[in-house]
Amino acid sequence: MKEKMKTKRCAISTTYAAVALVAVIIILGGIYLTYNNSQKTVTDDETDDMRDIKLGMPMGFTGPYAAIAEDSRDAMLLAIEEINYAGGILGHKIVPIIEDEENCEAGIVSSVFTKLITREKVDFIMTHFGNPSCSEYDIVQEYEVPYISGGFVQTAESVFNENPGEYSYVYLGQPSYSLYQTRFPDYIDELIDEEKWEPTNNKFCVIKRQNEYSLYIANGMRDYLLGMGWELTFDELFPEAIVEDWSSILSKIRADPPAIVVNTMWTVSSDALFLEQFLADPTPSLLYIQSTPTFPDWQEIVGESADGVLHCYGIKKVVSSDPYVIKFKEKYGRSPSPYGLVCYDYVYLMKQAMELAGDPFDSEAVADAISRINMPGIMGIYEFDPDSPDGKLLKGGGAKIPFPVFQMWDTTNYMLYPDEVNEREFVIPPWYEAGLEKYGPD
Amino acid sequence: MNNMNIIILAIINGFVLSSMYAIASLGLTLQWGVLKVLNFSHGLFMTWGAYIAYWIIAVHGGSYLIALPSAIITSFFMGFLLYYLVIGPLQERSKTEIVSNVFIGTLAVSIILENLVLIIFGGRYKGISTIVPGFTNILGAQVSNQQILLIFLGPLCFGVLFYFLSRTRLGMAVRAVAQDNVGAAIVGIDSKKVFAFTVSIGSCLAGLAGVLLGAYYYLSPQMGSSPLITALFVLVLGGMGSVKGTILASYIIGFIDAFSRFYIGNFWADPILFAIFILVILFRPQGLYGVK
Amino acid sequence: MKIDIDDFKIQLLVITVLLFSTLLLRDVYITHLIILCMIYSAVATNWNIVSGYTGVMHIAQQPFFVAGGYISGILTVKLGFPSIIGILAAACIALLFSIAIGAISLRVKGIYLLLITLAVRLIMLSFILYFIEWTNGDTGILLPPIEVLGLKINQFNAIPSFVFAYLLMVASLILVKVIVDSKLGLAFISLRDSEVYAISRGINPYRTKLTAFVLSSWLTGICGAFYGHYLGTIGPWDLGWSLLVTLLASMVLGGLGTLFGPVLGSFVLVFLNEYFRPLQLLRPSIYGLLLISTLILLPNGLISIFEKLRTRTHDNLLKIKGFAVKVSKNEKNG
Repeated sequence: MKEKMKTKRCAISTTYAAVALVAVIIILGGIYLTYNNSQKTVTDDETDDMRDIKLGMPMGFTGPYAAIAEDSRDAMLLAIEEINYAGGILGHKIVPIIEDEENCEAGIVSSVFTKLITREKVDFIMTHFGNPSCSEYDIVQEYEVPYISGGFVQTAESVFNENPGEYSYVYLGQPSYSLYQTRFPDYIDELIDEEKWEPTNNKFCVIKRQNEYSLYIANGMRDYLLGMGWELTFDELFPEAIVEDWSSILSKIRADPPAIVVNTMWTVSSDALFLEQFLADPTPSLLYIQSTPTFPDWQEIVGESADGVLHCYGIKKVVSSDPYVIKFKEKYGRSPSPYGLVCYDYVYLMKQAMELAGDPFDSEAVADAISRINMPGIMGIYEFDPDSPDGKLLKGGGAKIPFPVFQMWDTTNYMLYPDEVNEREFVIPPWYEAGLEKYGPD
Repeated sequence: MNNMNIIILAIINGFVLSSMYAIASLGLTLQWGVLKVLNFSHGLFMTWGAYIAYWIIAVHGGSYLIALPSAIITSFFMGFLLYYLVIGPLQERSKTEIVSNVFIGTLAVSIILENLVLIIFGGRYKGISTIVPGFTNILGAQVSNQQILLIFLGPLCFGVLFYFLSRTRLGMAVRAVAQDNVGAAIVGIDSKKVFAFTVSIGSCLAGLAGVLLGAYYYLSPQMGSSPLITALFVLVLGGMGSVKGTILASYIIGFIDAFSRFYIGNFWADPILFAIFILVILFRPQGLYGVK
Repeated sequence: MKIDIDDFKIQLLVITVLLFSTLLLRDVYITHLIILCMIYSAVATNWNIVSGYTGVMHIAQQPFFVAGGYISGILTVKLGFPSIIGILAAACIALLFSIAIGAISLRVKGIYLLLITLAVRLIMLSFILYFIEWTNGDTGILLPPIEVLGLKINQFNAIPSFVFAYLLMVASLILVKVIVDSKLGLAFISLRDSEVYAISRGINPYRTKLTAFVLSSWLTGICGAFYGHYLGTIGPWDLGWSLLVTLLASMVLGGLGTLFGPVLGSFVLVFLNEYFRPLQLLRPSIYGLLLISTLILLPNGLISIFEKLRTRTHDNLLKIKGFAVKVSKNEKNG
């Protein structure tokens, strides 16, 4: 029994204890001394000329965001390879330092960031997203390491708004998402005005998920459409989970067919199942599905059944004949997802910032230079918008990042709107006619 | 669409969901009834079943005729390994802490299995073709043939299992060990072999459930976690260890799930199930047919 | 003079010296990890009161921990109270929470109890996501540093955080020691070893176990609050499987029902996890394998290595001194 074992006492003399303590102190002291030396990556002899640029890439490789992390890392590595081949940044090669953040929980994110900064002594950190509360911003700011993140735009905006000027080292490589709320409805308005589409009624429904991105876009679009005079048939909120069974939603849609269905679930399997079950008995509605139509795995799963689906996305059209897509496919054997496109640009963004600053190791100058970059990329032309919260977000809309409305045909997304990027005309989706027959107005 | 159609859809949905829950839960209840341990890696066995089918169908172009048996057989062997490497040794070594040890042990197994899926197949979503394509019209509602297949598979599995447990010698040995493994030993039944067999059978049921989930929905490394939670609910409601109870409970939960999504809303469907779960444990922990 | 190594105070002293000496390394990363380890140890030690000493296995400890974090977060961020109030409230709410959960869960036993606490975790997650105005839903709450005695405590102020975390860990250890040495502790252990006999000796199992629950929760709530302020954020990810495995495994692998087992367990697990990080994708599998092998090979926990070493050292020391080592019947079975 455990009780009995504990009562057995073991007494040792003071001398043994003292010897043990001294030994421990000597060992620890030894570790301290040797350890401190190994920490130095730049000795007095080594000048900045010989240093490599260390790029920290902390991402959640083994958690639920593994696919995103994989794509982002591969995109960045491709960019790094290209830049190094062309001579590096101001003559310095980039060395990627990749760390796993598991499920991106705060404890692990802070440990990984602390390790990257204090142990690995990275010069720059880049990721598609960190912790959902953006807690890593404080870490990079405290240790003065330039940081570009691509995620959690709403949280980032509120953090920047509430702390203006505080996060000089942090930049968000995304434009404001406000255009998501208005782009598509404005396009629908144009379609109706130009008589390219005659909706069966002025109703719409909204399907969304308990998650900041989904809620922001869904609620914003809903309010905008309501303001335009559209009528809402239902507004369904799902918990933060994969939805496999859409019958309850679809029966609501079929009971009172809306002209527009807005779905912001943005999960590959939920949206694929929604499409599949919708198409079993379609209504004369336009389908708007947020974000997932740009993902290669969704395109693979739904194939041509997604012909006619509409969506709006920050990234400009990327075709399979695009040189970047070809490069990526050649190297990795699969098509890049949007994260695998944007993160590639971030590395080039870093390059331009470092070149503008003149010295890749002068963190303050580099961080400041980021605000002055201007370069073409997957989303459009990247330039930081001084009118955005604290000037930390990219400029959206117009010539910079057009936020096109797309329609999908043959697993390719074609830009319809705005006019500057129009490459194809809107076509009524294939399911529409069958829907009209069964559910159309008599 | 009138109310009648909605009810028919809800009923059909109820049958499909119940059937899938039944297959997923039968394996778990069997393992609990015989070994008195809860195998938390059951969800990952489902995931692996799905990915094996994916590998055969999508990567090698095979058909379900090859994929289904392969998934089942592989899961059987994986279950066998699970018993001899993890559950068995834990059963022997830990007396008082067996609940927590098996909990952590099988959680660790699920960590490993999920990680392996990630490494081998990647994190992106995958899809496999439907088992039986096409649609049929039932009382005015469009039902996919795959749904019809699923509706029959649940009771079929239950039937096979029930027959096995009540009519075959091995099945009776399993029931004997479940009832009293010391008594069974006295009669000459090697309980260790029965345990290993039970875990293997439970795992191959999980593998089958996984293939069905993969065909009906889509595949991802985390696909097994919510079926596992649902299987736990079914288990508790039906009575842990009772095959009859499990099948009845899976239909009750399947229908509650289907109807609450239609009439109460998707957001509250889960919390309602959680609440029922807690109430059942508090007021009737032996469930419908279980032994206290 | 003989130093009694079984004396709790000596053991604490050794641990204190070891821990504080790591500060000499002046390595921010190591100090950060050690602070996290100390918090996890504290939570695991408190958990041990119920699951180790009383033998009631449950996973409600994580909800207590996270509830503490959220209460402090809501009070400091949404309602503007100072962090000290947040921490005190965290302790109180965690206490009330444990009474509620304990009252419900303790009506059943074994796996059913485990399943109820599993359901509690899931329900808590739903609530956090639902009351989005209070909890910010899936975004989490960003917490300010703790301000006490003119000091700021968060991850950028290593020494005060270290001391705070250390005090929490020691407080938990002292709490457990005091309980174990008391009659109440004896009641707990007797319930674990043989509930029937304990009842026959007049112990009310329900009330005693509920007491255990309550005693284990208040410090956990404070740990949760500290965790939130230290990292600067608390969120639904803190209720995830990753943290659960870390805390649960610390306790079980360290040694259920032992005083320092959870401490050892959490340090070993956190550092092993970090040590394996270069393995990247393979790390979870290796971690899982290690968990399973430790469970099988060391069923009494990692701390049993010390016991085995000590028995051997004791015997060896006696041999050196010329005594014959008699293996008594008690030692063999004990």
